[in-house]
Amino acid sequence: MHNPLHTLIAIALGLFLGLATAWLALEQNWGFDRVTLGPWIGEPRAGGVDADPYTRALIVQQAQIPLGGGEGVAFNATIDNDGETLRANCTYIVRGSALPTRWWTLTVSDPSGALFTNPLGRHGFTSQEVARTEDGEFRIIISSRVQPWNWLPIPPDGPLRLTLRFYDTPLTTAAGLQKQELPAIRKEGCV
Amino acid sequence: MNRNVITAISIFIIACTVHLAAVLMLPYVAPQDVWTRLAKLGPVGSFYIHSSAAITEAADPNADPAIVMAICRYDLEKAPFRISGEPSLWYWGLALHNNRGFIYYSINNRAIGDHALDLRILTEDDYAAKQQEEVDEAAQEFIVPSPSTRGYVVMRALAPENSSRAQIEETVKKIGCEAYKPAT
Repeated sequence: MHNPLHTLIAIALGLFLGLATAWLALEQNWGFDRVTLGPWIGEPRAGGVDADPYTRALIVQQAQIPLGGGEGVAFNATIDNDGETLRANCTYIVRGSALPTRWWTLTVSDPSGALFTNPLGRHGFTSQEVARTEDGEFRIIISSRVQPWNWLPIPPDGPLRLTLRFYDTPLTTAAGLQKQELPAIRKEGCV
Repeated sequence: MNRNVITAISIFIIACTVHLAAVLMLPYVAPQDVWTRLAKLGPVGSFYIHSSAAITEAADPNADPAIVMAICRYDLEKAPFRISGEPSLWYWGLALHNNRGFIYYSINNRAIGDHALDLRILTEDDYAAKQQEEVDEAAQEFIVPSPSTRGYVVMRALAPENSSRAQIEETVKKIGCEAYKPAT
């Protein structure tokens, strides 16, 4: 690097690559505190002072107010149990039974978390209001067309995100979470 | 060594340094900390509802539509703060955030049991001084040192059904969040 121009270009390239990868890391959420359980992705330590630097930067950048470990834990899913992207033109059934938490909520939104407006004002179910079968199992049907039982209305098309939140749960450590079976997301058909 | 290899290594080292610096420093170089950004939503020392039933306003991607979220900003410069009340709710959780927005303490209503909520937020200096005193075992209060002078409390209360939301918002608004005079 005897040529000063050569040196300048090298420095500029280094700066560019460094900033570009930093931006990419936030854009794609490279946080390494993530726990993946089937289609569900959770970040049990998201908001804490001990969260990883990527997660911290992301939370500040997006001005999020995450759940504290003493409160609960949130999981997001943008794919079903077969690994296919969730889309609003399909009908999905989320099926589960007793979950290790005092309360849970299941919410449907677009991938950024924005809720869909609908005449019913329904954006999700809580563990209290969901209808269950006699053996305690619940089935939530996510569809743009009217469904019986636990129906979560969605728009006719577009990408989806499901969010499962546990409140007052012992499952706030990664080790405890790994053993847990979360509700399954199955595709029933598409239009 | 080949000059091109040296150049490539230099670029790589610069890129790594810049990448790490950018990610690590981002929380600290934001033009305003979260505490200041929240100022537009309400004054210091009272809870105000952050997520309302008007769902279309839910700009926070982490907001749960089944949760009533209230925020109270505190400033310990003159006096410690006290969060108190008897929130008779199905579920509530409190998270204490420092001025940068990171949670340093969180608790839910099961930890309080049947007692009324009485949580004191102190500066670390006041907390250290308090540790020297006799601890009153009977006092049903939680005392927490805050790593920053300014911060905020986020309270989440569950509305198990849509119809219960209005009632829960009323209950949450009545929870006290104010500076208090320590009895010394």
